[in-house]
Amino acid sequence: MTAHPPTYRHPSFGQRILRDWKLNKWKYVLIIPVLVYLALFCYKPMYGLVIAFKNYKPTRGIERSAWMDPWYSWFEKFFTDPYFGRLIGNTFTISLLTIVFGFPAPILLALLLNEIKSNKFKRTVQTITYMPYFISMVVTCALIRVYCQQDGLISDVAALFGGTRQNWLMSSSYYRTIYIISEIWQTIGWNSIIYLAALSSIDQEQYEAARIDGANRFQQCLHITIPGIMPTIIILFILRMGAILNVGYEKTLLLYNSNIYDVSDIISTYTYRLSFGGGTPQYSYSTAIGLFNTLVNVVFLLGTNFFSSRVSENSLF
Amino acid sequence: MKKILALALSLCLLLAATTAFAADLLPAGDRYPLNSDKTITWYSQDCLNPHEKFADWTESPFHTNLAKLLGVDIQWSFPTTGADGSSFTNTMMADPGSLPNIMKGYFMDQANMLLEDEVIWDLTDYIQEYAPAYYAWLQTNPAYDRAMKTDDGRYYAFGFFREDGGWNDSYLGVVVRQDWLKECDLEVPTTISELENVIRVFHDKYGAQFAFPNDARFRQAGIQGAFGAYATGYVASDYGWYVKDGKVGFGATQPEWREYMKWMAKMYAEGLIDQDSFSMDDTSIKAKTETGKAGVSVTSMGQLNIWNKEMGSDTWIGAHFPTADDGSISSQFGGFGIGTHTTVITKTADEETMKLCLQMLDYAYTQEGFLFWNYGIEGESWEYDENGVPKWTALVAEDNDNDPMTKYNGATWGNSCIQATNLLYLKNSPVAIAANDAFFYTFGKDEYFADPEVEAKTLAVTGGWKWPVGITFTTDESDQLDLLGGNSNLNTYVAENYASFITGSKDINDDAVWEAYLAGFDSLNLEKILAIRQGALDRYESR
Amino acid sequence: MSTLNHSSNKIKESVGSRVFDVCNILFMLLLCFVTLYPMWYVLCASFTKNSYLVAHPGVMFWPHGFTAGSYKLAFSHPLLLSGYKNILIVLLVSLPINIVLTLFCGYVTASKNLMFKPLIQFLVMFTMFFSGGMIPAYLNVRDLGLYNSLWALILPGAMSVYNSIICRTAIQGVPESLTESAYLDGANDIIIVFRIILPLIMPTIAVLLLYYGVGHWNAWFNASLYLADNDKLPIQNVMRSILIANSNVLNSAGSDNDMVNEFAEAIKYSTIILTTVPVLCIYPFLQKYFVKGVMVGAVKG
Repeated sequence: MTAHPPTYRHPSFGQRILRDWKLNKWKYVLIIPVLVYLALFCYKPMYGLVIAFKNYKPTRGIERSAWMDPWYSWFEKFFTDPYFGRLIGNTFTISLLTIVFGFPAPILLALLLNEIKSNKFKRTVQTITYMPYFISMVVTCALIRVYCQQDGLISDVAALFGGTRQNWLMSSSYYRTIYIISEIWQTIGWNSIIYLAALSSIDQEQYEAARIDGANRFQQCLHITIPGIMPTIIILFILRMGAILNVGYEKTLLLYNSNIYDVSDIISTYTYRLSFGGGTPQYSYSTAIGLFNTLVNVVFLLGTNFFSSRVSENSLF
Repeated sequence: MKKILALALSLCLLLAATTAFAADLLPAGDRYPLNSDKTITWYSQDCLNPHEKFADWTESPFHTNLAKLLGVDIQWSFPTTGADGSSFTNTMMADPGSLPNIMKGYFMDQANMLLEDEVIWDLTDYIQEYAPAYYAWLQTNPAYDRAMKTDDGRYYAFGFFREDGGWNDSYLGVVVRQDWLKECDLEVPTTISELENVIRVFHDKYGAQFAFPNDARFRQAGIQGAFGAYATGYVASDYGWYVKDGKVGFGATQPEWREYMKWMAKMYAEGLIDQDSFSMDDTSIKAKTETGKAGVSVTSMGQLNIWNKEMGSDTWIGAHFPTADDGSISSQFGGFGIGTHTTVITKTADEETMKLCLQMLDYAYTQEGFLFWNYGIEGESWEYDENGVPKWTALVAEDNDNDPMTKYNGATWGNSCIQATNLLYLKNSPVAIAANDAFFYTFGKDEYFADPEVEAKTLAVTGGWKWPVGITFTTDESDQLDLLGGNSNLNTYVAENYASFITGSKDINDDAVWEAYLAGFDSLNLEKILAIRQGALDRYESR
Repeated sequence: MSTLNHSSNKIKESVGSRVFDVCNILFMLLLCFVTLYPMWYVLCASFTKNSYLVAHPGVMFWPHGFTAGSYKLAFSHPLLLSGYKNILIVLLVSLPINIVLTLFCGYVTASKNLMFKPLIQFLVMFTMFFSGGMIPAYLNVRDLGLYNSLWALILPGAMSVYNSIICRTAIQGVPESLTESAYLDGANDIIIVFRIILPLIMPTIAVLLLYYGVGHWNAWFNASLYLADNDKLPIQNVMRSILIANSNVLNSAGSDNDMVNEFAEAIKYSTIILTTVPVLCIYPFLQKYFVKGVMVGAVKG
C-alpha cells in the first residue's frame, strides 16, 4: 500500500507467484494434507446443502428429489411459523445468558488458580473441577430434576427460609437460572484448561520485573496476566459468538416440560421434534433451519471479529 | 357408526375364533425346508436384535435355527448395538442400491412412495401363490387385510398381529394401592367420582397424591373417556385423533375435553395432583410410588410388575378406566391388535429371490412357524404342559439374563409374525395379567365373553374410536402435511395449553380463554390437516 | 516458577494480599466440594442397590447395601473388551494425525507474507460453518470405501478447524525472531514446525491432545452409522447399549427380570465410572504442562 518509488515496476502476477513459491514453498507443502482432508471430507459432501431447497427423500437421492416451488419454501415456512419469534428469542436469551455468565467463569477460575501458591493444591483443584464435564448429560439432568422436585433439595432449602415447596422446573421464572448454573458447574473446569495453558506460556521474567517496580499482585494480574491471555480470550470469544444460535437440544430436552415451553423451547429442540416427533424425519426443513442458523452465526462472528480488530490487535482474520 | 360396528364385529369374530388356539387354524407348513442355495440378506430395525449376551447373531439360536428350518442361508443385519434404529434405517435408505433383501421397519407412511420409486416389491401378484398362509391369515379379518395394503389394493408388507386382538394393546391404565384401599375400606374405583374420592381419601390419610409420568404414560392413556371425550389430544403417535361416525376429529378441541381439563384443574388446585408429574418418567415415578407419595397412578403392566417387585406382589393393582357416574365411557387406551411394524422385500432381490423371500416370510404364519417364532424349537426351549399349552423348559425358565426367551423366539416384541397370547402370560406376573384384564375389560371380563353386546361395546371404546393402523397418505399428502407444520406444532401447542389449563396459569373455566385457545388452531392449519386426514381415512374405509 | 519467586521475595506481603489468599483457598475448597459431591454421589450410586436409589434419590454420602452387581452386569457384556480395544486403536492412530494436521494448519495460517493465505484461510474457516449434513457424509464414507472400518471413525474428523485456530493463536505468540534466525541457519518450515514451534507451544499441544482425545473417547454417533459389525464398536457405543438394554422396560410386554429391576438405576452410574475413569487418569499427565509453564525466556536467551 505504500507509495512505490517511480522507478519501481509492479511485478506481474506470474512473477509474484513465482517469488511467493520460492519463499513459501514448504508452507504450501505443509498445507497440502490439510487441504486434501478438507476437500475429501468437508467440501465433497457439502453438495448436501442443496436439500434445503429441495423436497429431499432419502431413497430418491439428492439429484432425483424435486426442487421446492418456490425454492425458498422451507425458509418461508420457518419464518411464518407461529413459534418462530419465540424460538429465536429463547435461543438468543439462553445463549447470551450463557455467554455473559458462563464465558468469564473459567477465566476467573484460571486467574484465581494462578494465585494459589501450593502446586499440589492447585493441581488437585484443577483435576476436581474438570471432572463434572465427564458426567453424562442424562445423569446430570436426572440429578437436577431430582433436586428440583416438590420435595427435593431446593424445596428443603426454600422451606428453611419460609418459602413454599414447589417443583422448580414447573415455573418459567427459575428455568433459565437452573440452566445456566448447571451449565457453569459442568464446564467451568474443562473450559479453564485452555486459559491455564495460556497462563503457563507467559514469560515469568515479566513478573520479576514488575515486582521490582513495586507492583502488587492485583496490579500484576491486571497488567501482565490478563494481557498475556488476552489473545486466547478474544479468539475464544469470537468463536463463541460464532456459535450464538447453537444451543444443544439434549439438555433442554431432558429438563423442560410442557408447562415452561414459553421460556425453554429453542430452535434445536424444535428441529429435534421435527425429526423424532413421529413420522419420517424432515431432512430438508431441518437443513434449511440449519442454514439459517449458520448465517446468523456467521454474521455474529464477523461482527465480533470486526469489532475486536478495531479495538484490539486480535482477530480471527 | 356402522363402520365402527363392522370393524368391531369383525374383531369379535376373530377373537371368538382365536381365543382357543390360533395355531390350530393356521395352515400347515409342510413346504419347508425350502432347500435353496441362495443367501438372503435380512435387516431388522428393532425387536429382533440378537440377545445382548451374544456378540452377534451367529451365536443366537433363533437366528441360526430359522435359517435351518427355512433351508435358506440368511445373512442378518441390525442397527449396531446402542444405535438409534430409525436413524439407522433412514440413513440406509439413502443408498437404495445396497439395501438388504428383506427389511423390517416402519414403512406404512412411505409405502406409496417406496412402491412408486421401485424401492420395494409390489407383492400383489405373488402373495397368493408364494405366501398362502399369510394371505389366508389376512383374509380371516377384513381389518387385517385392510391394514396391510395400500389404498389401491397393493400388498407390500408382512405385518405384526396379536393372537387375541386388542387385549394387550390396552397395556396402560389406572393403578391403585390395594393395601390402602383395604385399610380405608374402599372398593376399587370404577367411576370418575369414585376415583376422585379414592385420591382424596389417600391424600387426607397418607398425604399421597395422584402422580403419573405425564408425557410417557398419562397423555397416552388419558381418562378423558369418563367425560365423553375421544382421544387425549396427544398428537405424537396418533393418540390425538379419533374417528366417530366416519369423521376424523381432533381430541383437544372437543367441549368434552374441556370438561376433562376442568376436572384436572380442580384436582391440581386442591393439591391432589403431584406437581412433579409433568417432568416424571418411568424411573422417577418409582420414587413416588415406592415411598407412599402416590396412591393412584397411571402406568403399564410391565411397570406395575416392577413396582410390586419392591413392595410386595399385589400392593399395586390395575383398575378399570374410570367411567362417568352413569357408567358410560366414550374412549380409553387400546388398539386393534395390529402393529405398525412392516417387513418389506426390496428391489435388490430379483424376481426369483423375491419369491423365495415371500416363502421365507410366510413361514411365521403357518402352524409350525407360529410355534417357532413364539417359543423356539420344541423340546429345546419349550414343551407342552399337561393341558397341551406350550411352556418354557428349564433352558429358558432358569436363565437369569434379561428376557431370556428372546434368545430362542422372535415374537416377544413386534415383527412379521403373530404373537401368541400365551407368550404374554408366560412372560408376566399374575397381577400384571389381572391389571391388563382390568384395563381392557371395562365392562367386565365374564360379561365380555358371555354377551356379544358387551364385547362390541368394549371393542368400540378400546380400539373402535382410534385412528386406524395402516392408513397411508399419498406422497403428495405427506408433503403437504410437512409444509403445514404437521404434528409437531400441534403437539407443542396442545401440550403447552394442556399444562397451563391444569396448573391454572390459564383459567379453563373462563370462556374467553377457551375461545382464544380454539382460535389458536387456525394458525396451526388444523382445518387443512383434518381435511387431508379425512381424505386418507375415506380411501382406507373403501379399500 | 512463580511460586519460587513468591517465596524468595523478601518484601513482606500486605494484609490485603493475605486476606485474598485465605479467601481464595476457601473459595477453591467450596468449589471442590460442590463439584466433588455429585461425582462422589455417582460413585456411591454405582455401588448401591436399585431399591435404595429409587426410594432415596436425595443426599447420599456412602453406598447403601454395597454391591458391585451393576459392574458385574456391565462386565458380562460380550463387547466390553473389544470396545476398549477399538477405542484404543482409534486413539493411537487418530491423535498423531490430528496433531500433525492441526499444527500444519495452525502454522501456515499464522504465518505472514503468504500470497494465498486469505484463500487458504477462507477454505479452512468455511468448513467450520457449512457442512453437508448426516446423509451426504454417510454416502461419502461409503463412497470412499471406509464403511464398516475403523478408518471411518478416524479420517472424517482428522482435523478440527476450531482447534487449528487455537493452535494458530499459540503460534502467533511465539516471537518471530526465533523463526527468523532459524531461516538464516538454513532450516525449512518443516524443521521449524517440529524443532522450534512444537516445543514452545507444548501447553497448547497438551490441551489439543486432551480435546481431540476426549472428543474421540466420547463420540458414538458416527460409529453407530458407519459401522456394521458390533465387534468394531468403540466403548461408548457398548456402554450405550448396556444403558439402553437396561432401561428398556418401557415396552408393553413388560419385563420380569431380576437383573433389570436390581440395577436399572445403578447401571447408569457404573457406566459413567467405567467410561470416565480412564480419561480422568490421563489428565494429570497432561496437566504438568500447564502447571510448569514453558520457559520462553530461557529459549530466548
